[in-house]
Amino acid sequence: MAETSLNFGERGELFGVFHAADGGGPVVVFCAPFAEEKKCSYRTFVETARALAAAGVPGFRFDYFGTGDSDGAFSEFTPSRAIEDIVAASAKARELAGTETLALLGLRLGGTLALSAAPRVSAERVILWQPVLDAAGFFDLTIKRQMLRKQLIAASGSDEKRSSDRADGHMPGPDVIDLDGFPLSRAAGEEIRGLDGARSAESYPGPIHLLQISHTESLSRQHARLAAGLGDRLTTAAVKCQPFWNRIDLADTTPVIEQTVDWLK
Amino acid sequence: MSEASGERIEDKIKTMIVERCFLNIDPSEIADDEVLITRRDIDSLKLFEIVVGTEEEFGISVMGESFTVDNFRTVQDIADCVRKHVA
Repeated sequence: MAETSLNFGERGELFGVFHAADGGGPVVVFCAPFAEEKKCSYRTFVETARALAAAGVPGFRFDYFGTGDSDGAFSEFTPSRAIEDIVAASAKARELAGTETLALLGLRLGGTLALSAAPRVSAERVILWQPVLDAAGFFDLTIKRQMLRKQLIAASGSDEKRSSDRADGHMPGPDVIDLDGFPLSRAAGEEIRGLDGARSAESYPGPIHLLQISHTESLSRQHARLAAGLGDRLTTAAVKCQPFWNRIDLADTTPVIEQTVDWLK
Repeated sequence: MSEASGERIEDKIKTMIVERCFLNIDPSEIADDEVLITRRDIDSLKLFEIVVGTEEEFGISVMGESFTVDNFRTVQDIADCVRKHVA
């Protein structure tokens, strides 16, 4: 099926790729995860969009302002701006697909952002891939993961340590956090910590499909709690799959894609 | 506590590592004292999975200010760390 890359947004500052399809289903807007997780999941988003298009479901992938091919620096990324970008992407996706029926698909923090944007864009439904429901916990863990990585580098005495030890003028300023090479503003970090995926899920009135992607097919306590709170509005499935959003090595994401196509076709 | 129910903490840790790191081995193949990073090709992301898995499995918090990767060098190190936190 045809794929078209384009710029959109008020000043053409955002970049997206439209995957055309002729099945008449909802157009799916892909909401990417955060920082390193976006890099690692890029290919899975492409493969999912293509699988959906083959099943007759059009899709629209895009980069938030300050990420990927969109304008801006990463230090300008904020969750509130990203939500505005989802709104702009939704309008563009509807225009390109020629349909008003729209679904949001979000991975990790992208799921949290999708839930926040869903009422504003009147999404017919939301698909969540291993969403971040506790954003404060997620952000703290991201910081701790970086701390652990630095300890490993220090223990190995690698060149990366010596390079990062140099005062070479590339150190982030006091208002910026170096998040594994992503210069995140402290304000954006605080904004991320304030997101509440579980509450957003309660506020959104439409159906939600939650796909748990982990080492086990048993629903986690957190997901089970959400399911209990949302009742019939939430459909859940659990697939045993490597967390491809933080893996450099190959991961077979077929079960993730198949379940998603099954929900949307 | 798993030892009270008859299962060694070390064995529970090995099962957790195999599951969370998607290792294609039997948990019993991991020796208590082998260095996980070099012997099982554990990178920082997988090691982080093990740390989070340890917290979830044993209901403890190990990532405080005194956190060090030395506590996660071997299964024995992790088990010692768990015992210290639940004591």
